Amino acid sequence: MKTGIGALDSFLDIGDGIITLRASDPRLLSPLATAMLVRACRPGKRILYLHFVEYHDRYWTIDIDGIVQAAKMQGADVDNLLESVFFLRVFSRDTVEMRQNWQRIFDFGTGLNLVILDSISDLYKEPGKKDASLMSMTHAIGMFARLCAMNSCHGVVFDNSPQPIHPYLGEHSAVIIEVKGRPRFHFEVQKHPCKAECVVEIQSQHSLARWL
Amino acid sequence: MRFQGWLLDIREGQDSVSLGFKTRDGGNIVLSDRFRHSFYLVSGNPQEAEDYASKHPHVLDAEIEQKYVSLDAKGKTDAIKVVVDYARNYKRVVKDMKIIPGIKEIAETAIPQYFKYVMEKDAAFFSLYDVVAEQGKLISMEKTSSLELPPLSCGAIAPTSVNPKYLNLVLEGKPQMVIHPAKLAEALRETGTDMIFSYGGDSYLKRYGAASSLGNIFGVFFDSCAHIDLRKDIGYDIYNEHNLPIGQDSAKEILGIGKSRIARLIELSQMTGAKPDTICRITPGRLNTYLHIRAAKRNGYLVPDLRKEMERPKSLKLLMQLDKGGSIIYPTPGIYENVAKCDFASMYPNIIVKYNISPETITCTCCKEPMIVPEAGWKTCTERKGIIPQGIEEVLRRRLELKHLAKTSTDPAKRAEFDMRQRALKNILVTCFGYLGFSNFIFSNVECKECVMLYGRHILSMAKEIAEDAGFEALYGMVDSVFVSGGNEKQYLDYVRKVSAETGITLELDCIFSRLVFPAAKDASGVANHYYGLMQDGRMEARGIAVRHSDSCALAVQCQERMAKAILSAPDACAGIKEAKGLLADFKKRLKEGEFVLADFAITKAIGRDIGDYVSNAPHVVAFRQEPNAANVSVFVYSLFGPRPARQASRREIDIKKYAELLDASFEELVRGLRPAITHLKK
Repeated sequence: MKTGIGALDSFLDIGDGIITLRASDPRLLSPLATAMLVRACRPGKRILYLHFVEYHDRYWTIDIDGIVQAAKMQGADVDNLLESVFFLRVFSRDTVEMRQNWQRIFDFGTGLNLVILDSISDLYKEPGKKDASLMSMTHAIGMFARLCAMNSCHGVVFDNSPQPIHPYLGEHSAVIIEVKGRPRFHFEVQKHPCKAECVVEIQSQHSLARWL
Repeated sequence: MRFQGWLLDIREGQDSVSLGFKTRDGGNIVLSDRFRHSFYLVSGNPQEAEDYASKHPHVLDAEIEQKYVSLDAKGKTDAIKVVVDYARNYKRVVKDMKIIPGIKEIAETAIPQYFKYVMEKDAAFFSLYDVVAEQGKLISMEKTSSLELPPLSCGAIAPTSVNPKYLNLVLEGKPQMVIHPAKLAEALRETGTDMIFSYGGDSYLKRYGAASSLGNIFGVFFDSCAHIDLRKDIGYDIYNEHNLPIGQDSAKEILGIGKSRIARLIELSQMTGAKPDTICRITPGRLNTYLHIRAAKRNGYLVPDLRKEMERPKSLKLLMQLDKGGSIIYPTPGIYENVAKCDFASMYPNIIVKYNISPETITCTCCKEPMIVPEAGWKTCTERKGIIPQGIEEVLRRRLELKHLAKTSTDPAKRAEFDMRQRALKNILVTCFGYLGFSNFIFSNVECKECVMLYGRHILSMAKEIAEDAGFEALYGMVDSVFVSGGNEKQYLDYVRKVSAETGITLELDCIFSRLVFPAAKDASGVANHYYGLMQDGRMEARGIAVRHSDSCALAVQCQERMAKAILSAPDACAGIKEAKGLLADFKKRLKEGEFVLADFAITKAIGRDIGDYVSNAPHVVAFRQEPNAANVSVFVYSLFGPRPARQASRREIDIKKYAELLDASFEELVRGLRPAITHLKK
């Protein structure tokens, strides 16, 4: 897994597993998404980009022109890139728990080189609301992890929620990096296989989802 | 008993519904009709599921029906209709059915029961019926008219200015009275009021404890009459003509506005089947849901409780090809003469109907000769009419009928009523396309939306080609309108007829501009939706310039309007520009001499976010910080001390230099990039 940013790539160089990139400003993640797509493109392999946002908000992370431009600058095979990167949008809170929807993704998702799960922050629990969305969040992360495991490929989650990371996402991620700053990137590695983990003891199970 | 009456209300009971009728003499008759709550089960083993379901103690009947169980189902399959004994057991039965082995889906539990009754009986609120009843029970009802309106008794409420916990209640033909909110429901029942209007009643009635048992997250409802919250109704009406906000304590004003809007509620209620007090509380997009659920039911589809479909995965290549907006033909900046403005009538709804675009028809495998979607190559069914086109077609047909009635009616009041009714339907038509891509719409489908856009682009390019073949020049095109030059009225009429015939979508000649100006953008390029022109009847039409901007000061609007008219009406455009320059100098001179009043300098701008969220020091924000107001509108002037609220500023401290700059900018906006156009004109 490479982005072309040396400092970041050394932390992303893990066998497989889920990498979570967090940033409060989604615009910070856009160039990273572009760089990953361009670099992960291999002949005969496909990349799946899952998008949780509303169709009408679809442009905030996907910058098609930017991707094509970056591919040209990298000297990558643009035609191959255009044909091997697949987008799936409108995967919203209402539909995320639908078994048949995930089945369709599993049917599609063989021979994948990389799976990106964008805008997962849409599934975070809204402050002051009931825990209904917690189910869809854990369900989505579980299914996503299964998809990556089935394909033995990297999974990248873009999370721009201002809230602390969802515990299930944190548990499943091999690497968690917080992206900060603009125009120069600053990265804060929160979780990595080489880093000792700070274990927080959970006092009560009542506030957690049933399979946590 | 036989009588003629308008159906005003349907109330759900335990094993029946109560139908409220209004008779011709203004009387109210309530009849009951047997109607049990029901829903559907989809199972891998229908026989076994039917057996299980029918053994439930609260299930009255469970029978297998043939239904399309999903939108992509190729044919009808078995679905089990479960009829529950009493409404109070409904939720329990639905919950219990989930544990039946092999159950794939439970459908139609989210549809209100009254709406199911409306669909089953093909009933419509506010329609006139010939009713036969016996001992308070409905025997039969037959629709006779949907155009004649019932004699409704209406009222309005507003909090009193002295004590907002009390309400002013105005009922037609009765003196205004003061009432406590807790007694409102009783008063409405006693007076036999059919419809009560309020402005923001949903929030203040709940606060002061009126009808607390009937209040829910959607609003406050009364059991004896429909409560219409005009704040919501006006807010959701795209074509609203009433100014907001209405004075809170003016119940009479609210009653007047409410009565003028009854026709809209009635029309939307008749078209969608939703109750009038629901209509006023739902977005125009949501009206589509009601409309299409009816069409789906008519076609034998099960309506799922949750949206299941998602967009199919698309490669970047396909996404670049398909994910486009409406087409724009950018104009070359310049001055043009004899330009025809032609508009496609309800372009996107007509495309949906003509090309049968619906989630279940765009991936057709059944037809021998399907329609091929341009660029995408998808196949659209030509044999089975889709549910979305069916719903939209009904609205289009009805709107045409109402437009015709509005034109031909001799009674001005009737004309206004029909016009309001057709404008109400336009709310559905303008949102039907965008709603196709809305994730919470039960039948949304991104591919359908892309299809419509592709057809729209294709049709606009056809219109351009036909214009060029006819020897015209297509100057400018914007999604559903095209501006052509080089002909006369007769030739333009021939042109619109030809385009209509070839595309299948009616193109109308909207107007002919004797002179039309397309000013350039700041980078000298042509820009969309930025023009001004003089129509043959002497009226001016402008888009995208200061005269149209809501945040322009009256001074700039006055000046620009006069300059634009000078450019448009002078015999020679060059002379017109010179005259406009003269007018600019004159306005600047008058500005220096202090001829204008303070109101001419005031600029109005809305504060869209919480004022604390603004990081910029934009003039309207600076002024708003000095004098915040509840309406979140900043009315300010440029003073010598910076932006100030208009109410605090005086005429003497106006920054003349800044306003002179604004006048210069308004002139520049009119003539930018017009030099090449002068040669154009000579041609």
